[in-house]
Amino acid sequence: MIARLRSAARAAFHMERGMMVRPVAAVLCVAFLCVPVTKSLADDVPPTPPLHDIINSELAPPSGPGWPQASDAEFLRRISLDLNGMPPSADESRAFLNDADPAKREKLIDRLLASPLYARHMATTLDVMLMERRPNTHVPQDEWQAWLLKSVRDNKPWNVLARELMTADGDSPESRAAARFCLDRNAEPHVVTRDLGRIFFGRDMQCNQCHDSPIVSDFLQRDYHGLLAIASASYLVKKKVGDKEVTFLAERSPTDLSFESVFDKGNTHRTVARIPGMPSFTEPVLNPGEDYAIAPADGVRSVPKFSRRMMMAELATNGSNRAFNENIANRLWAMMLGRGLVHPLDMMHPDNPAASPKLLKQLGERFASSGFDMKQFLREIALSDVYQRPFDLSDDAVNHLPAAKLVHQSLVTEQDKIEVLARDAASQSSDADNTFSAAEVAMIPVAAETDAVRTQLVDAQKKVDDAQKALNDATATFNSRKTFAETLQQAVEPLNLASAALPENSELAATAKALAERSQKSMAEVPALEKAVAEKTAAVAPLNEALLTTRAAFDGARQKLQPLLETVRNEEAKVVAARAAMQEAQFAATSAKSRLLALERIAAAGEKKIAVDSTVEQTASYEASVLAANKEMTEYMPVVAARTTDMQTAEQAMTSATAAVSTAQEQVSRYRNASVTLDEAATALKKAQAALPGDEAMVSSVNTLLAKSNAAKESLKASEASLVSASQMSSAATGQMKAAQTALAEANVELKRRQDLVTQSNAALMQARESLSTARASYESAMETIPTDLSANFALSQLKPLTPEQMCWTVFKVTTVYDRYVATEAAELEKTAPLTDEQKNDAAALAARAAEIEQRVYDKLKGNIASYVQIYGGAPGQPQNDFYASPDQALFTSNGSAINSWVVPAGDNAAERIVKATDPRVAAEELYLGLLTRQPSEQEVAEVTAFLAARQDRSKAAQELAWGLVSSAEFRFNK
Amino acid sequence: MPREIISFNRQPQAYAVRCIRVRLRLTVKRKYLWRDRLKHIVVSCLLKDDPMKLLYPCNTAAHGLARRQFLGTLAAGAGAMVGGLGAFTSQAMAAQLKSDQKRIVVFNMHGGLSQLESWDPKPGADTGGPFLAIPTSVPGIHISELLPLTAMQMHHLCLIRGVNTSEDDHGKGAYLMMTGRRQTPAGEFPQIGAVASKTLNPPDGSMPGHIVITPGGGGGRGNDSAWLGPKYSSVQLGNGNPPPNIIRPDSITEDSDKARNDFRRQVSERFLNRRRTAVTEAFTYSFEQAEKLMNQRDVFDVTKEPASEIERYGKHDLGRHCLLARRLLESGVSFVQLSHSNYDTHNENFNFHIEQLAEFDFAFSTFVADLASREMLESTLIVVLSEFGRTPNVNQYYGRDHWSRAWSVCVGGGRMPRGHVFGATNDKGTEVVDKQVDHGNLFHTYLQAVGVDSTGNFNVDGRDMPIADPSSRPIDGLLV
Repeated sequence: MIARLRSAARAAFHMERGMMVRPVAAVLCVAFLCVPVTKSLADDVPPTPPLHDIINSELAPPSGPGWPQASDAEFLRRISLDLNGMPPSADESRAFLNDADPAKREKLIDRLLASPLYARHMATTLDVMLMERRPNTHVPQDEWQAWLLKSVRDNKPWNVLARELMTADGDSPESRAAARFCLDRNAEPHVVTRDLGRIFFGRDMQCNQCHDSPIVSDFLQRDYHGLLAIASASYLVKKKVGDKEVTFLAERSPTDLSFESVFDKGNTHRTVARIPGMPSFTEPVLNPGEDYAIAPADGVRSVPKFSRRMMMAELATNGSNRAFNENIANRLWAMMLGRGLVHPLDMMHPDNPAASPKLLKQLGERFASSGFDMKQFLREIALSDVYQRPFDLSDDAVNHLPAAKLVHQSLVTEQDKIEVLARDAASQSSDADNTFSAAEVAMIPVAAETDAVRTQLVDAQKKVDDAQKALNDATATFNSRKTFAETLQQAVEPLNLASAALPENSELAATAKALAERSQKSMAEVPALEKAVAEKTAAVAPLNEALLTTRAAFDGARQKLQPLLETVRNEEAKVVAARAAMQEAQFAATSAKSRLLALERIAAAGEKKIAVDSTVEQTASYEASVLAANKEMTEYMPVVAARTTDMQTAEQAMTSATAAVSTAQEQVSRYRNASVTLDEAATALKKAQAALPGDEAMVSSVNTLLAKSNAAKESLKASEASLVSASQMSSAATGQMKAAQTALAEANVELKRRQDLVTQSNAALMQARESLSTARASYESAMETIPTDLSANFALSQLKPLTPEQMCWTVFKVTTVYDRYVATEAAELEKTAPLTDEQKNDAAALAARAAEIEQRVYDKLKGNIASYVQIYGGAPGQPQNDFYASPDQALFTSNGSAINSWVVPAGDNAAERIVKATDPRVAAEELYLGLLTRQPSEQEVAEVTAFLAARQDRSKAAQELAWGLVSSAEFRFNK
Repeated sequence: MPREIISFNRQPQAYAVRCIRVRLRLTVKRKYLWRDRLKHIVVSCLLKDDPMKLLYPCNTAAHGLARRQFLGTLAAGAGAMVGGLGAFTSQAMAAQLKSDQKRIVVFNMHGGLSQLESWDPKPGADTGGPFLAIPTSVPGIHISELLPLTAMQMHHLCLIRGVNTSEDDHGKGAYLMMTGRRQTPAGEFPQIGAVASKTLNPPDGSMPGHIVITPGGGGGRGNDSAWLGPKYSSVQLGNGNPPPNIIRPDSITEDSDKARNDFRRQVSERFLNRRRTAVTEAFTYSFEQAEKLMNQRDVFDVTKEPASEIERYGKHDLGRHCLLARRLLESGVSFVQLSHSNYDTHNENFNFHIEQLAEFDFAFSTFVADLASREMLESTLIVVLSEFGRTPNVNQYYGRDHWSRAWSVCVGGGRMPRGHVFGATNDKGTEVVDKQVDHGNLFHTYLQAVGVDSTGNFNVDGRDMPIADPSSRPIDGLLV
């Protein structure tokens, strides 16, 4: 709810701004500007959504809503560097971070945009963008910087600024600064052409000087020469002003440029002036001699009646040139986001995919319709979620990645359609090209003929002019001589009379005679002169006639050429339209394709993340089952043990039972043997007794034997009985033993089962772990490109290396040097020119004072910038946004005085605060807040604490810590 | 009367004396004294105990020693130390054997060296000037008598005598010789040093890949890499001084430096773990490179060489610079450029060349001999160039003017043939009559000589940029 209210408030604010812009824009439109702009503003159209909402919807995160935002600290350092060129001080940071106001980010943006540092930073950015650190040859740096600064302070619209750069000739003091763009390129046509193309239209057509680009199909030699036709009309002129020689820019009357491709020699093309995305200029046809307002001469700024530069400035900046609008939108976007929607910035062509071609188009349109208001545009970018995206790919963000699949699917269905459109548009464009080429082929010989006649005409005109001049000279001579002779003649008469009156005056007579002679001589000269005049008069007429004939021929040639030119123009209009359609369709197709690929990778990585997560779960469940199985196995062990004991007991019982049986058996057999033997003996004895009856001894023996036998039989019976019982016991023991055996076997089987379960679940766990590590590896490899993909699509913030100037100012700011200078200058001004109480309440007066202080501090410190530019900057005339790191930079940081001298404890800087802090936590906070605009993590506090404990000299330690952060990667980049 | 030709390899002493005589004859007219320099020449001519040896590139005394030393080191096995010269030699050898890294060294004879007073003399011709041609260590090759010591190194060198660059302007001439292309208004091209740095310097090398020793003071970074980017711009050593900021200020102790760098690494490493990119890697790596460079700072300090070495090269600036160049090449720098100034002799061409070339001859010959004895010639291309040569015609001030139609470049090492002359001019030196080449051919050939496919492209920011002028090609039939 609150969010909705806030966005409504923003929309209202934006509309208000829009209305404020209107009068400004109207003022700008004095001559020819912004016709469509005023119209669209004046109409009662429904309010368009604020630009930051458009940005948010066009560059929605790949995974739908819920994508994380940058932290306050991250945002604070980022926006401060981007809008003011330096981070905030420790105290400013602390105040912002502790501020609970939900609108504090928006307020901060407005505060930074109102700071004089915004104008300084923007002027520097424009300087580097426009001049690329070229040496100051004709315009001093201070003059140029001051002009840029004033332009930014006045929030001069970009199109006005660009128009001034394109048209200024440097002949008047007020136009000198703006003329630097051409002057310090020495008006070299190819240099100017290349840089016009790159800096104002986003197209580096360097290769197209000699041929259509073999690499970039949309960069054409024709486009290059269209711009060259403009650049080559201008040239440098020098004149003395006081004792100084001043160089300024003059322009020739336009002529057609002919060119041919080195790949296609002999096939000539012609062009007049043209700027990207537009048909050829409609240039007036002026007769030679009538085409200059001020004709060229030494030290004179020639001015043609038709100026291609003026025409270019008008056509490029009136809001209707898409290339111009999108180029600057893309450049300002890159200034904030660290990367263009199309990147590199001077490679805007349909084969170079944009993060969102639709957004680029809208940015261009909206920027133009806002009256090219740079400040407002930057504000809208800063307000967008896209600008406020995080640097880190947090877990939270990673969890969002799989959702990219849905976006991907929705795009896939469109892709085929887009590609068909692109192919159709390409074939139409190529058809139009062919028709155009045919028309051009027909036109070129006639145009060449016209050129030849034109040369003749110029010759004839020159002859006439020469003859006329000769005639004029002769007439003048004749007239003056004749007048002289006549005057003499008139004087002779009175002198003769006087001489006659005074005959004695011989002197007078001599004079009269001399005069008479002189007069006669003069009179004699006159007829010859008269004749010369007559001759010269006669000579003029045929030349005039010849001129008329040539002019007629020229007119004829032109008339013959005219319809052919018409056809070429008509065909060209078709080419331009077809090409624009092709560019748009193709651009959409390549961009969609590249986005699809990125989304595919992102979705795949997301899926791999899901796979990892599910494998982690699986592994956990396997771990649990391993534990359970182990537990079951362990739990069963006592059972097995008990059964083993049982078995042993049963075994023992059986052993003893078996022993009893065998003892009993022995007894039985012993008694049986004894009984049998006794019976046999008794029988034998009876036989003997029968033989010897009556032998008493024998009878008693028999009886004894019989008794013994009976006793034995008794014992046998008894032992047989005990054998039976022993046998019974034995069989019982056997039964028990078997039972125990069975129980033990069963227990063992169960144990085996449980053991197997443990083994199995262990194996499963191993396998799960292995597949987890495979899944992790595959996820990690998929994730390698993801931060790049995400940041290329602005879902994560870019790593922006600080520019040399940002490095310099950041070092001054974080070491409190900058603020100390501000304080000194403020105090100085307060002393020398104190503000009145009234002024102290006047916002304008306060702003003016702030600007004055900024200027004074800048002037005092600017001498330091050069050493940073030398170390961190690119070469003059080369693109300045390439990052490189070299050992000489590291040596500069390590051993140079520029940084070492500023990190010593002084003036309440971080190092001094560390020295003063008794609590290492406070020291760590001061260090990180002061130098990196953020609170330290717990680990970082611990590191600082350990560092301080280990170092004896507190002051040196503070210096070492401060240097450590200034030289760290985190300091070197804005993220 | 034909002059007596004395061959230095048959009669070295007589040759040296002859040189002195020539020089004295030429220099007595001069107001300043030449004796000191001449003394060097005499001494060096006389002290080379057996110049015959120098005829055979593979059997020089120094070479033999180096080879024995190398074998000895191998035999002694790892860990065994060889003292004295041996230690140095084996170290250098080890460094060389360690990598196949190729190198280029360019002597820029600033102002326009006269080919007639150096590589392509025309004695006797009306354009030839007063000097003789002398035989060299390669039978049949003669060069100007102003280069007697270089003549003894001819078996290492190759003369390209058919150079025609059609550009008589200093700036434009220097541009096309350094970049291999004619200057165009709409775009700059990288110089040979930047190209060499990009193609030859190991990506993880600690030494800068592109060093220019400037004759004057100054220093810092040159503006010579165009679209290859500042990474390949030259590190300029003003008058041979070390690069700026290479020495830690006294106010920072070693202990303190270690502590602060440890802290820096800790902080940076944590940041890199948040997002690792080529950019952040390059940034942190630059500190490691800087540290290595600081540890190697002695490489930039020729005073670390024994006095005898400094004596061998000559105590003048060029001698010092040559010795520095040798040290740099030995420690892995892939490109070194030296300048010798100034040869723009519109007046007094002959006297100036005596003076200038005496310095050059002394330092350059020692340099070539040292590279050869260190077995570095296989991997190191030597180029002696100017922006152009000088007119065959001698003007009224005894000077020679700018002349680009028929002049010479001296090369050596790499795949260049040894002891060879390629191309020729006519008798008066006014036209190329055989195997004409231009700056584009030369540029291609330099690169090919160190194993770079000069017809390939660099990929710069997604754009293909030809390494050398695609409309030109390497010299046919020169390289071996």
